Amino acid sequence: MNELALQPEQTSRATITFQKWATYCLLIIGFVGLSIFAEHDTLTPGQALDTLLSYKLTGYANILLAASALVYIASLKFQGELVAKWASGLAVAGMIGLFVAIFVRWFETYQVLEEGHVPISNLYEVTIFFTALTVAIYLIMESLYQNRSIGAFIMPMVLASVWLQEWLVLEGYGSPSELVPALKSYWMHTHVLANFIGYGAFAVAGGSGVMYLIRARLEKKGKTEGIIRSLPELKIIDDVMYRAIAIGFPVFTLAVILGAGWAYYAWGSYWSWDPKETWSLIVMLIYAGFLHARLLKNWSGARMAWWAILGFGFTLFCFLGVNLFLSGLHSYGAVG
Amino acid sequence: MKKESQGKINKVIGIVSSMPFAIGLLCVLALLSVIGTLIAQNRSVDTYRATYGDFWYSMFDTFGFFDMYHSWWYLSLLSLLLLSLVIATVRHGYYIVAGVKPIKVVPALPRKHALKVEIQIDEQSNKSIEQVGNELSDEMANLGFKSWINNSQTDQNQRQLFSRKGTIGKLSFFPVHIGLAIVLIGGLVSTQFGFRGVMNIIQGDSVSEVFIKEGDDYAPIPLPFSVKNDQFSIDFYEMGKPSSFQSTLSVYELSEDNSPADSNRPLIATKTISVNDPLRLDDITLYQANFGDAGSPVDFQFTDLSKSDFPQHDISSAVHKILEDPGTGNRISILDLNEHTVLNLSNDPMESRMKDVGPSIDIKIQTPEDGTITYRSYQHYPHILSFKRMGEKKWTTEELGFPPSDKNMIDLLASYLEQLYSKGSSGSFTDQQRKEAFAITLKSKNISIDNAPELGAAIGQTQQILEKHRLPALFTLKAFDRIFYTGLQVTKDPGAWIIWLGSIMLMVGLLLIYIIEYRMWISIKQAGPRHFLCEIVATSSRTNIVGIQQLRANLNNIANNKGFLLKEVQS
Repeated sequence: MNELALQPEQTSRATITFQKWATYCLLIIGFVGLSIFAEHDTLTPGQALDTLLSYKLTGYANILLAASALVYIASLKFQGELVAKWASGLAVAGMIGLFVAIFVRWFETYQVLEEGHVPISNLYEVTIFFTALTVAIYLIMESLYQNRSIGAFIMPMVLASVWLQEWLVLEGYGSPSELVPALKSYWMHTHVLANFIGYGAFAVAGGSGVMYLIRARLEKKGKTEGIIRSLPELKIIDDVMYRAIAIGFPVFTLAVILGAGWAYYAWGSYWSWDPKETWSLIVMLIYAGFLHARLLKNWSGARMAWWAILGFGFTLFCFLGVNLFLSGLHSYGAVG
Repeated sequence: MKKESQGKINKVIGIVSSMPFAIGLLCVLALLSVIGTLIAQNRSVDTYRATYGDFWYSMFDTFGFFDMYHSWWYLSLLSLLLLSLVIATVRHGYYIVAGVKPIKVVPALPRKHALKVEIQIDEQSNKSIEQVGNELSDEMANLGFKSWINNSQTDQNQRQLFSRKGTIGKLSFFPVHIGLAIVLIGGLVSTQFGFRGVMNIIQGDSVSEVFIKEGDDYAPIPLPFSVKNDQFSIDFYEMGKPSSFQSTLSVYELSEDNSPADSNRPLIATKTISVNDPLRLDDITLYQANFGDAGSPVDFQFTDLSKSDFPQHDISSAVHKILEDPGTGNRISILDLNEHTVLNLSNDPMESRMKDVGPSIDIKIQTPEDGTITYRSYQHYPHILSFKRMGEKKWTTEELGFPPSDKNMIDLLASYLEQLYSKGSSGSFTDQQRKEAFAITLKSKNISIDNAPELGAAIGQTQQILEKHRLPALFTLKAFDRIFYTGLQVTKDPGAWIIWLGSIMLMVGLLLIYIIEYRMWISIKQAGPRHFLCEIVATSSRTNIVGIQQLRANLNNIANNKGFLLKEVQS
């Protein structure tokens, strides 16, 4: 028997997390106000993308996120709390930057386009949104679990979505564009928001899955030194993975229901088996399977990690693959 | 005998409602659903034969892959899911209800636990074990726990306290599963008792039937009313993309002979509908789905470059109409009319200067010699010409030296070319030869040589383009009268409200899942006078490291406030 005396805990972790995020929100509001104040009288209709403040802000934020990813990976090696803190700091700054950029771009669309809209209407815009939300969900996990090493596995994915953003800009899909008639609806905001919270959460789960497998492998080899020391215990990784999916699944389900509601409202058919719809259903079925196995059969370990990784693979195809390779009702997210 | 079959049925029910079966079914459904997104659904037989070849076509067709979400096997799997869901709900529901009811007997200690702590309680005053138990129960109540004390203990020095909170979360099982079942049933009701069809109405016309897709064909279904398209309009953004389109519809009662023509019939409803704003009638809803050209009359000029004198013909046709010249075997079809066309007017390939150049027409010409070429001719920019040959995706755009509608210039070009080719065989000509030929042409037409540089440049530019691309014809859009039809989707969906009810239940259930149940078994022992030992074993309804840490912190706070000593026991 191992006995531990406990220290009293003054403030609960949830409270600390809440206070932190309230601060971030205030910062975002402040920066958005400043940016709009600085830019509002310089905007002209049809202005080029690279002259927009939001575009520059996105660029800077992406640099911070890329740096953060590298520092997170470095922190595995150096195992210093300070290095990891720097990584989180960069991630927080990058995330705030991206959210500011999204709001500023929202404002800009009203000046640059004939009709303004929330910037979630094409692949470039939603990729920015996805990047920001994934970082946000990860940071919430980080502060709940008080463990920063998870970032080394999540942030590389964020790096990939930063790369996707840059690629889309280079291909000329970055400029704000007018909404097609079908998208002019309040359903869009809730539908897209819920969808991307889901995607972000599934990304965090997928990253945790990879981390789980790596730690499990190192344990199997009997390693006790090196990287394994910076990785949290398997049961904690497992918990992060499960929690991410437990958050993502209901929100994603809500997104699908909202999408069905919107389709019914706009076209009179809530379900038309269009590729995006079908792939959302596939994603839901896979995670429904995961949750059943986990909650009722108490499955855990490597197979659940694989499940989370595979699930994220399917999620990724639902998000990007459908737009890039298949056609259908969601063609406004298409490239080419 | 009867018992045996009963046993078999029970066994089957057991398997169908079992968890591994459900998990397997979810995964199988997920993977099979992929097929239908890779194979385009509900296309024509010809498309499929062209894409997959005869062998794979017949294979895929056998398995219903071309409409797989309505194939017997996919629907059977969905029904199996529904069945599994219903049986599982009934079977497991009983235990869940039992787990939520107020308890009568303290449940047995769990085999696995998430937290085990010991608290040493040293009281100043002489408290009985009952009082200590009640105090602990009050503390637990402050944390949101409901407690039961087991007083029927034989051992006078020991009490068992059982506390739990968040038990209601367990009930999420019901709304989630019943909600999902209701959604599936609603879908069934929709497909069995509703319909979804299309209705295209030309401006000013009335229609009283809707077309339902059946395989490759559309079958008409009569409606209990007629719909008149009073007005259809499109708004455009500056760069020519539609920003919105709407139709003003009037719905009239049918006349006795069911003819939609008579407009003196009583009006049922009227509304201007747009994409996100349908017209709802009693049980039928009219949605703005799309729009299209209803055969707008078009006047254009056709310059035949295959003949040496470049004859020009004024032709009247209509969008989607195909004209055939039996003499030459040429087929000219009007593919589309665009009221707004965006064109890059910059000559610099690195720079783009997009402009909405107004109306344009897409004309396809099929000639026996040159194959198929599609032209785009711009009404206000007649000297600009876009075209693409069969299989090309992008338009090639060129600027001619003069608009093809300029009869004099076309004649001049024809004479010049005649002159030029009369000198030598085809092939290349020197600048000198060209100049000479052009001078002779001008002279024969009695045109002053002073105009030569200007005319020469225009003719030369045009000739270069024609030579480079070997175009069989030129077109000029003269006039058009746009007639649209509005494309409506007409649905009757008696299952919709069932689906929304189910969806709401599903969402409520999914939110309830967030409420995690915590259970604590607290055994209190009187270890000596004023000295108690309290062992707490806690579990949560799912592994939940953060929540258990919070619980531990809460227990720790209680112990600290009271001056007790708390120790964590790790097993």
